[in-house]
Amino acid sequence: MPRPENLFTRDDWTADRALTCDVLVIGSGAGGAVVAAELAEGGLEVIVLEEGGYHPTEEFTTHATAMVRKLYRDGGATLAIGSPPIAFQEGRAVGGSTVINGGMSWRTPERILDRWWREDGVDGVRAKEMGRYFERVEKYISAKHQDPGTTSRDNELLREGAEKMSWKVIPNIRNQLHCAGTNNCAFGCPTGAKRSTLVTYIPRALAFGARLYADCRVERLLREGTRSVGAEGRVIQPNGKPGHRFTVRAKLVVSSAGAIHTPALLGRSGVKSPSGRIGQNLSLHPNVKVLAVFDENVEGWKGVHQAYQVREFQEEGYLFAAVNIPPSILSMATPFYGRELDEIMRDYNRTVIAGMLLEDSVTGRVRVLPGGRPQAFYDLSDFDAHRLVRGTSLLCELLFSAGARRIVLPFEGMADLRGPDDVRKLFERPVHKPGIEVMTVHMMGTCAMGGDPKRHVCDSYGKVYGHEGLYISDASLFPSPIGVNPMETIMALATRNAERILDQGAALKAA
Amino acid sequence: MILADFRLSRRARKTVAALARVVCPEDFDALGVEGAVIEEVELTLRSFPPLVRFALASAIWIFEWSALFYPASFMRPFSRLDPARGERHFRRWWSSGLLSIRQLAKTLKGMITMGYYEQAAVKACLEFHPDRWIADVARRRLEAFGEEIRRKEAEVIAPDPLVPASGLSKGTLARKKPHAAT
Repeated sequence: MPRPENLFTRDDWTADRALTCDVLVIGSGAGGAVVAAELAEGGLEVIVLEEGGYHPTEEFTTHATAMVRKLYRDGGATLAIGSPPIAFQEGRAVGGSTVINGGMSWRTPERILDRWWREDGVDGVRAKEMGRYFERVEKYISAKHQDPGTTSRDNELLREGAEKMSWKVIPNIRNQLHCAGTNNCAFGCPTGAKRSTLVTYIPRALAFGARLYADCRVERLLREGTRSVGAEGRVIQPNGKPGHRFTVRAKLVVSSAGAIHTPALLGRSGVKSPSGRIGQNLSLHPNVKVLAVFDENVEGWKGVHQAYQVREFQEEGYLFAAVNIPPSILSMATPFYGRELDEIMRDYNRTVIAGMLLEDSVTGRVRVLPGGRPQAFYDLSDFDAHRLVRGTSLLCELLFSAGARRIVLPFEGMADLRGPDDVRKLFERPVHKPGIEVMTVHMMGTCAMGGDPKRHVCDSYGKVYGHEGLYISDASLFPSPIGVNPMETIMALATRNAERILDQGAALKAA
Repeated sequence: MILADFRLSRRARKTVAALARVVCPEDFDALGVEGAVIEEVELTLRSFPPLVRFALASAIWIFEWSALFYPASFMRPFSRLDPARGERHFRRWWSSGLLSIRQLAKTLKGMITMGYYEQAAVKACLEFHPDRWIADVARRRLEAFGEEIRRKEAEVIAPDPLVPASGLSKGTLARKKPHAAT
């Protein structure tokens, strides 16, 4: 496939360059791509800067470790420091994390939107007001249930287990166009069926004249007093070293670099918030996984990733799903080596990997280290650690009811469970918090929106308080965790923010 | 893809190879994957940020030479220990009382086994052959839905301007774009 004509990579740079546009969008994931497409179609001249490379669908393979190196920030070696340390992953490619996520497309729960309106004073965010933004996003990303016959056995076992327990289990809504169930979502969809922004909003933005520059790392925003007037940075060479310099001057800047890198960019640029809360309020949906070995052949890789979600305990902040991952990645995460590792891996095709997402109750923060790199800090509270144990026990009950014969736990030093009676062992002694294997892909809240400049970083539409010409459009905006997969919420808020910017479009053009 | 200019030293490669014999299944040698696994570990390290890469390269070095201090090693570094003594050295790290040492052991083990289980021969042993599966279902997808897929993909770039509720901008600034789809 030829590269789109207004998409540029490092190969197109032969010297330092200065560019101009109406709106500069930093990042091309769920937030940035949507804003760019809507504004470009609205008649504004848009430039998108993306730190990652351009990798079209044809480049995606089942070589998981190679895809991690290609598509994940820092080869996936990103960690929130705290007790326990929490591994987090984010995409670094054109399309951002939408290229590597599981493809779950859920509207923000109504209770969350109500809370944002009631407690944070976010204007126009209740379900009836957000409905048309969700509908528009769902149209472009093709959010719907899977076609029949594309579900893998591990997902069916999860559903059967939930039904035996009489728990609520629902089919996932996914951004997919007749997904065939290749189960390669987290390493780039090899058919393009997953409707990431790489194959939806980015082509749309380009079709309406936006220019996208891949391999461009923004170092800082250009400011004139309290007004943002662009950004500067360096083109990244294949070895990661900085290459040509660029400056982009713009009438308006939208940061969509994600909840870790947006606050870092603001911090590096000297942007201060009246609230002093840039980088605070990090929530991240702590996530644990168990390995459940069955007697039957499961072959979880033959069918779609996360076909169902168990929603029985959603009000308590728990979601359960089956999340098959390839052997290489699984082997890294198992608490075994040598013969024990061999034993568990030989059961790979009989294993259900099930995960639990927790709506967290505490927050962490993001700080900028000397040199400009961001570092996340997050301490799991004792309360949430207990909830992880309780959630895991519920998940184990479900898996045993589905027929599991052995479950490997995410708690260091705790023996595997061999039957439903073993589940109570989880509560016999306190779990050592630093020994819980926690990971996440949902980082949120570090530039929270709301109605009070003393409590929030951005107004209800993503404009940074105390600054002109600077908007944020990514998961940083969330005032609280949302308890479901965040992609559609980011996209809907981005659509809403773009609409607000378009309202000022004529003035922007005239400026 | 960003890969730093980094190479494992000859000694570090020996350490990784010896460690792979401890942490990987027993068929590691029989499958002849040593070179490929070391290359995977090196590529993984090259994709990590400089500080993490430095920490892990240092950990490999320390792991190699810390074996000298155990009496049973007879003053030999880890890569020259026999398998049983090598396993005991690794187990000391794996079950250390210090969380940071345990984490390093887990990370080193994870990088190596990740490279091992990425090898085609190992995937075949596990009867894991996703390429065949993907080729099959992708073909069936296009046979069944090809026309609809092409139509939907065209719709992605069809004009449909966002109309702000306020109507202030009347949905579009109506600037003609040379690239705009029609």
